[in-house]
Amino acid sequence: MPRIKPQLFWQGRKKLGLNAAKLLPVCRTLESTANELRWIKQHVAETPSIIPFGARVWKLCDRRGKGLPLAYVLGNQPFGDLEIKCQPGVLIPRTETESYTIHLSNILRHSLSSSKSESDPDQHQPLNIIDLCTGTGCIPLLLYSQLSRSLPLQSLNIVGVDISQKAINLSRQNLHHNLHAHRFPRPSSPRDKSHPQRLLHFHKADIFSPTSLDPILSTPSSSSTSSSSSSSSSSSTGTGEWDLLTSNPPYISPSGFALSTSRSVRNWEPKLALVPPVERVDLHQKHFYDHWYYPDNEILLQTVEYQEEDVFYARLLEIARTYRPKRVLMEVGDMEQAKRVVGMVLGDGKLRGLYFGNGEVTRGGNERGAGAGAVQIWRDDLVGFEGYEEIMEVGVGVDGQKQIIVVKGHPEGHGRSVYLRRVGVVDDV
Amino acid sequence: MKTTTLRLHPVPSLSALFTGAVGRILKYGGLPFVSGSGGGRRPVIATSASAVAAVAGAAAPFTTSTPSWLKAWQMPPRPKLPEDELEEVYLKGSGPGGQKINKTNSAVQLRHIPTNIVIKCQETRSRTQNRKLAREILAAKVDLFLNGDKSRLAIVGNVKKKKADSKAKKARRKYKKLEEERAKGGVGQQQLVEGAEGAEGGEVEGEDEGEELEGYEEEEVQEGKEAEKGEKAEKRGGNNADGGRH
Ligand SMILES: C[S@@+](CC[C@H](N)C(=O)[O-])C[C@H]1O[C@@H](n2cnc3c(N)ncnc32)[C@H](O)[C@@H]1O
Repeated sequence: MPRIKPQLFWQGRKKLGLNAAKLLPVCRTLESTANELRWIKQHVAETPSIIPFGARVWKLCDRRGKGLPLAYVLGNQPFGDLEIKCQPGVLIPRTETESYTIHLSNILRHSLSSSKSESDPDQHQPLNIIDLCTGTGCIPLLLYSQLSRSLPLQSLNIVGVDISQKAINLSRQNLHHNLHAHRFPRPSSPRDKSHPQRLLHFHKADIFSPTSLDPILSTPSSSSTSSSSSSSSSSSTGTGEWDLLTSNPPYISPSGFALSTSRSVRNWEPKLALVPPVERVDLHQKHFYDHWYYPDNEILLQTVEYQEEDVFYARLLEIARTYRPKRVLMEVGDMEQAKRVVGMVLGDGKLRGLYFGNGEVTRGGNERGAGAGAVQIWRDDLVGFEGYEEIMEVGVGVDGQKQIIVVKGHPEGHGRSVYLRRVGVVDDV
Repeated sequence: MKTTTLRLHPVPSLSALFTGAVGRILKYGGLPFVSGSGGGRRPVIATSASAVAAVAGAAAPFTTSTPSWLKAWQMPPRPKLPEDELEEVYLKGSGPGGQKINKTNSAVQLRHIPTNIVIKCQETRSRTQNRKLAREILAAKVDLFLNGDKSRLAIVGNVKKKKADSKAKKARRKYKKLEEERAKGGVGQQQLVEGAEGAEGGEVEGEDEGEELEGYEEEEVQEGKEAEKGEKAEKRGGNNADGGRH
């Protein structure tokens, strides 16, 4: 990390004062120093205390200056229209995550409001959403907030899962925090049969442990005592299906952690949230896909093992195979990881059938028709850049058959997530 | 008579947003950007490309005379731009993003396609909030650019100027009245003066507005000082949104 030029330091000190001089080394630019100083002051002004204003500002600037992330210094991070409480030990929600979460809620809103008329009994069918590796609970909380507002009559059943007790405690705290700030309506109690029924729960579980995860996954509607349609399993709707599975799992390799994370991440954020533990990889080592190819039949990878930072995707896709969620969204670290995950999907016959169909190759890719299923890569900053779309051709399988992948988001954005939509499910956006 | 339609909350943090580059130095400070939508009414903004070009290209674009004052309830609605005329400018963050970085990068840059006016907003820590703010700020700028004297900002500005004038006048009058009372001791004179003022329309708002406006005007004075620095006023310390045409 290059040192701050002394000149800039003095300039900052002169212009913005001693507090800023503390912030400058971590903020790097005058602009972001000025921003953070203002946010710190606003925060102090808004939280009453008997300690004088100046002393508190100074103390927070001091902590921030030592590298503690601003969200830990201030104790929260905005996420969509929510305020998410943050504390050391639980990962701070990122703007990238916020962006695709908003996009997801738009997808769900459109697909539901267009496919359903008011008289449709399906509205009583809850929208089932599960977020694995939920951390602060930011993803399920924002989805709950957005969907309860945009689909006011829709029943919701949203679940967050994390291995860390600290994260689960914090996610529950975040539920109450935003509830008290009137940012969204109170969830229904499970016995409350009034309509719409909105459920939002957080559970502690290790996603690699079937014994603790299966009970959560196998009952999408925990309140679904309404056995009306459970037996007659119509293909696209019905109790017992997850409409959306999201996950922002740990995805950084040990070497990536040492070399390419920012210091404030490395020093202050929990490694459990960032780097998949090696034991998991050993435990989960198995044959997952055959071969996969890129354009021109160039073989990129022929091993049957995945890279260690991809182990959570292997597990998430295993879950997708079993529970067949209508939509899956997995955050990834970059375009390369996104491609590897796509390769894992397309290289697995069952997953490919579920999410890609046996879609014949059509150039221009998009015209695969409604309900054809989709495997997509989303780049950063999809919100505000919805119009951008690229086509990527991926050859997969022993025969090297070409498949079309749609890449969405601004072309300069990093690859940020992989989106799967099951065959037969229609999205409008 | 107490009408309180025109609400100008002094919002200190927002006052730092920017000083305008179009026409004259603008005072965006006290505009209630944060409070709610503009009531759903559509703005008086010429949106077709040709209209924009006409305005932009005209030698004397703002020749039509605007009444020097408007009653508060005649204020134009806060302008709003249609989404399809807006384009977010992609701000490439440094580094890989995602879990590897925890920067507080909440800035949003927004362009109005027909006029090519671009503004950047990093006022709050929330990108969602900044996207909303950016839209409001840009709408105000475009309105001013297209409608000049008739824009909401210009009109709001005029009303305030008028108010300040009338305040000065009132002070003068008070002084005069004292003089006159001392000399004659009549009341009729005062009523006559009030009537004259009414016709002129100096008084647009109820008295209770006075305080809020005063706070606002104080800010304005500070901004005026900044403005003296000319170009430099464009980028102020702690300032988060810079505007300008690109
Ligand atoms: C990258 S963080 C994501 C947090 C949050 N979803 C977000 O986007 O801000 C990953 C989370 O996964 C959790 N986690 C790690 N291993 C897990 C496991 N085996 N089962 C469930 N959760 C796990 C961590 O505790 C951490 O909260």
